[in-house]
Amino acid sequence: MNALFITLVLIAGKPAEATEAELADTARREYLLGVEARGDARVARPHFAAAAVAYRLFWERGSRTPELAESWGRAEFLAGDSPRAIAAAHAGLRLAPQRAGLQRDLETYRDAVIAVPEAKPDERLRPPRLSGVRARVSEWDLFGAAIVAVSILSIGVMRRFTVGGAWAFPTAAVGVAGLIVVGGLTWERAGEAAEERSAPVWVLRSDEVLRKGNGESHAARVDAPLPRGAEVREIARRGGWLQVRLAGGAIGWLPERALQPIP
Amino acid sequence: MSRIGKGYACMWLAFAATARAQPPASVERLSPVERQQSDFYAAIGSGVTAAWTVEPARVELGADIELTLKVANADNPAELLRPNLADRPEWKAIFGGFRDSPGSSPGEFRYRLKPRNAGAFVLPIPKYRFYNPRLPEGRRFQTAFAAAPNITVIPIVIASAPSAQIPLDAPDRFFDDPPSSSGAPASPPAWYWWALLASGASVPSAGIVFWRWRNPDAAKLARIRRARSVRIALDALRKAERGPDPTASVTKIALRYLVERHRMPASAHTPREVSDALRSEGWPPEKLGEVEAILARCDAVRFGAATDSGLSLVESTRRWIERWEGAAT
Repeated sequence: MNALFITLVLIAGKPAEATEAELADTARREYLLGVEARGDARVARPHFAAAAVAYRLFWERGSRTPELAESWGRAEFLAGDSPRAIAAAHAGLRLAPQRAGLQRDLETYRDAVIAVPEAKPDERLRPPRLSGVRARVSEWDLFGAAIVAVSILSIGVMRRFTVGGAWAFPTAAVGVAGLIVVGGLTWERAGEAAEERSAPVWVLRSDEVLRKGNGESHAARVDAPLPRGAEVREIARRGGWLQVRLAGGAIGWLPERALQPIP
Repeated sequence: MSRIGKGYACMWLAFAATARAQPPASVERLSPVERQQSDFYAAIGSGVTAAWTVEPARVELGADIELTLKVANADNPAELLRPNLADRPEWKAIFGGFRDSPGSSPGEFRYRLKPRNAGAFVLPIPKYRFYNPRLPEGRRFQTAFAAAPNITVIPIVIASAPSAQIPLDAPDRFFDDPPSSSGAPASPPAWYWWALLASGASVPSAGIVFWRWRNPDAAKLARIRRARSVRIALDALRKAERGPDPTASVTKIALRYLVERHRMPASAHTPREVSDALRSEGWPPEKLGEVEAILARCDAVRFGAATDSGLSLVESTRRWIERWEGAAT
């Protein structure tokens, strides 16, 4: 346990000195130690917490990849911090919205959030599964499809202006159609990304009452407090409070101190 | 009898008359308005009591408590309804994980609840109203008052003493090796797209230029192949080379070419007919001579003892068409 404490201090206390390779090694080592100790949660959780700290520092230094977000989210979840795990999954999905592993992990983290039975449909807390073009098609997929379409178009054009042939024009037409499809999907993805940016996700760090105004004196918008780990979308900010929208559509105010941003 | 005594006697008679009337021992006999009274859970009788107890009164956060409601002295215990706590905001604020469990007798209701937060709470027990048929009309709904139990929820204490090992609960994939970064960017850099655009424009252009440089005659051929009738004729000649009787095919190809490309009447078949038809169209004599020569060679190969093979005839015809089209363009 002492060794673990020292590791945490070394990493969290002197983040500037730790190299990226050291952080990666520490994170991986602590994660695997946690896996070894999975039979006893009290022993395993501190290892996962240490791994989560290392992954978080790694992320904050700019080494941002979907794989890192996946490992980080799992470490936070296994350390018992569902809100941070949800935030990590969202951070990874910003980079690679189509990554199935991250999507599945996010659903697992959401399952762990205590679900309060909603009195009204607009008070629903659980967001729907990720959908849309971004959740299915990656930018690499589009790039690959564009290469194929450009190649087909090139073959058609070259055929048309060299040896000719009856299928030169249909080939070029297939290439053009492919490029149109790629362009349409790219346009749709850009629209979805813009919509995502316009209402960023926040995660509740602790149980908190959703209020009708930006102050403790305002009445509760929803009777039961929102559970830790609930996801909300920001609409506006005022005086340390955020106006947010629940997945069901209900709008209310939460103190910013109770919310975890997506890094 | 004094005035006070008379008053008591009147009240007794009124009460006795009410009591003698048939009391509704079933909720079915009540009017719909009476049945829908708030906080009325179908209890009928006089002196009905409702008692709430909680077990345990001190609980660790995350553990369940069992709440019991015991209703006594009801005339219709089988008809009693269970107060629904899960729908009440004041209960939802304190508890989650509502589960109902059966009681040991008809008038007993049990609830399993999970406190949300640590602290001391007075349970917000609901009002319990019952119907007393022995009272006068309009005053028959009474409230059974009960003491509200308290509970204390203590935060989870991590004991320093060794305790039972609790394994981590998570999907198995979480205990695999953590995924390592592949190093590839999550999305293609912008210059990839520019490179694709540039190569899409330059590669075909370069390919066409290179091909024309390597095949100067073929460029001309490509140009003449743009005419459908020429393309058909050249493709047919290529097939004829591989066919069983190239000579017969060559004659048909040459005639079809003349009909489609040079609008010769389709009725002309023999070299003489062809020559006449083209002459009437005003063709120059040197061109007429070429056509006649080709067709004569075809006939010679097909019907005579010429040494010319069918393949050389195919080649001659192709050159003839290309020469004509090259001259035309």
